Amino acid sequence: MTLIRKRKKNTLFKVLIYLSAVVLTLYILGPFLWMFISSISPEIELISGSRKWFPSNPTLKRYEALINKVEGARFRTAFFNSLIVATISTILTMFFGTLAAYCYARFKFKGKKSMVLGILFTQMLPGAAIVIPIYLFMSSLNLLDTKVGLILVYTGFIMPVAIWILKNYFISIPQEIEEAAIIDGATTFQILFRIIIPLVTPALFATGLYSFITTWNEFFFALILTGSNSKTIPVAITEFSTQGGVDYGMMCTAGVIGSIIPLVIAIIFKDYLVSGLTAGWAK
Amino acid sequence: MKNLSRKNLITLLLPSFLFIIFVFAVPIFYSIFISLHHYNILLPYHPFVGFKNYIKLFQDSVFWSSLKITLYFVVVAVTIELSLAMLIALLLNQDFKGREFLRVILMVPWAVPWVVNGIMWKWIFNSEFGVLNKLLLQIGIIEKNIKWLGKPFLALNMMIFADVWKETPFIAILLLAGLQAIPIDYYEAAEIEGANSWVKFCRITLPLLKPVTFVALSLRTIWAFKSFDLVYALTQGGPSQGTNLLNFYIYQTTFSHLDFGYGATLSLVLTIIILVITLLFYKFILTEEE
Repeated sequence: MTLIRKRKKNTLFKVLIYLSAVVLTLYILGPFLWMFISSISPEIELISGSRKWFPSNPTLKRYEALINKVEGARFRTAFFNSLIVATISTILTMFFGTLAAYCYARFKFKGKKSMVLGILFTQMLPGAAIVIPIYLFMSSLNLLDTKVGLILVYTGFIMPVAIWILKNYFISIPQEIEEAAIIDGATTFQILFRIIIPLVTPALFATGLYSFITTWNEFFFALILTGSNSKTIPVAITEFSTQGGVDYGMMCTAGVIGSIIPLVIAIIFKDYLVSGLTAGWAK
Repeated sequence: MKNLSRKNLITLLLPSFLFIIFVFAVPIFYSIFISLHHYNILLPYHPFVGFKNYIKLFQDSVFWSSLKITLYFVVVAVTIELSLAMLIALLLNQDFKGREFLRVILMVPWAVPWVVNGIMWKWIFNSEFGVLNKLLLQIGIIEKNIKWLGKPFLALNMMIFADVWKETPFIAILLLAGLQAIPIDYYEAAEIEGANSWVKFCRITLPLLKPVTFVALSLRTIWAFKSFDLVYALTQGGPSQGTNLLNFYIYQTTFSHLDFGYGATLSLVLTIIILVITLLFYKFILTEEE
């Protein structure tokens, strides 16, 4: 009797789980799919108030316009700007961040504690509190609306987070390995580059991906510091909705294209990113 | 832990340290300096005005209404996100077919740029051609199109809705990692003692999940206070400034009205608010642990 009841309860539980899984899938994918469907719907179907869920004549016209027509030239420039800025900032951050994270994880030095607190403090600062001086510096150095300027700002901007995540990885490596190397007469730099870095390559990779996605998606600084020469993709996307009349079709298309790189990275390297995120924040 | 020669230490730390100094430390002090001046970028010189900008803030009704809206946004959004994330994490901690697939698609909202999230919902909420009205009309919940972003309070809530979609998965990922770190023996021991699922959840899961929940809560609170992209892409602060979150108000003051002095003042006040709330969080958790 109790067994039957238990089995019934289990079936009910299973149904509930699958039901929630379906609802969750629709909730997560629905909005993005709708943006994609809109991007391939002909203008007439987009604004006809039709009751269909999929266009009867799907079109790739807008993608073509953005990818190889004259009207997409500025969008393409923004795409490549984003690619350059995010890649170089990530490389710089990873290189210098690794050196610093290794120090934080392994050595005692004066002011270490306040530096760690400082790193946490940077995360509380709203962009607005630092953007005005940065804007003024950039303008006096003639770096406004340049990729170099934006790269420098982004490198500093993601550095604290990268150091934080990497530090937690470094701590998890047993010290004995290094101690053996020291006895063999290896220098600090030899230990770092020959022993430690090969051991934490997956961690470096995870942190690098995180930095790349963060800088690719960054909007606030890009909006203020860039113009026609160095505009990045998030800024270019908003221009479809704020300049003049809103072109929803183009806006959706730009949104889909602008999301492709972070989405592909996040899906393919999900395990790396999740381990990086949890190492960074859950500790 | 060992000591490192001074030279090596400087070589290792200095480059990243300089970046952090120039992007965070110098600017924050310079912001304090600017906030004490009448600093309009178009004017040739910027007289010192003492605390005039700070006094102005107390009489600025837009600031107070923006603060109220921001607090509402933060409290409601973070509460919903955390509760929903907890449910999602518990679901994904169960054994069922398709669990891996769900874990992968959880990355989608996290990866999508914030501005894309904004324009995506702007289109979904569109009163004439948006899919939300279309869906609700088809099901028969509403009879005519609703202007989701047309009224201040409704627009604010719709903005929370958009924020929840984007931010919940990240918290769910953190909480799920926390759940998976709980040893299965604990549950088995509790089962032998005859505990039911609810007791197990309250006595084992929740207490052990507290540290990671706390981190997620404080992170999300800090980030929610800093929300900007969503406001910019979705509503531009309107209608009637009903979605004018503080960070957006600061942006407008600074870069549309070009009042750098007052903008810096507002941004410092926001910094202090975030700082105080974070400290309160930590104080609370420390006293709890004692």
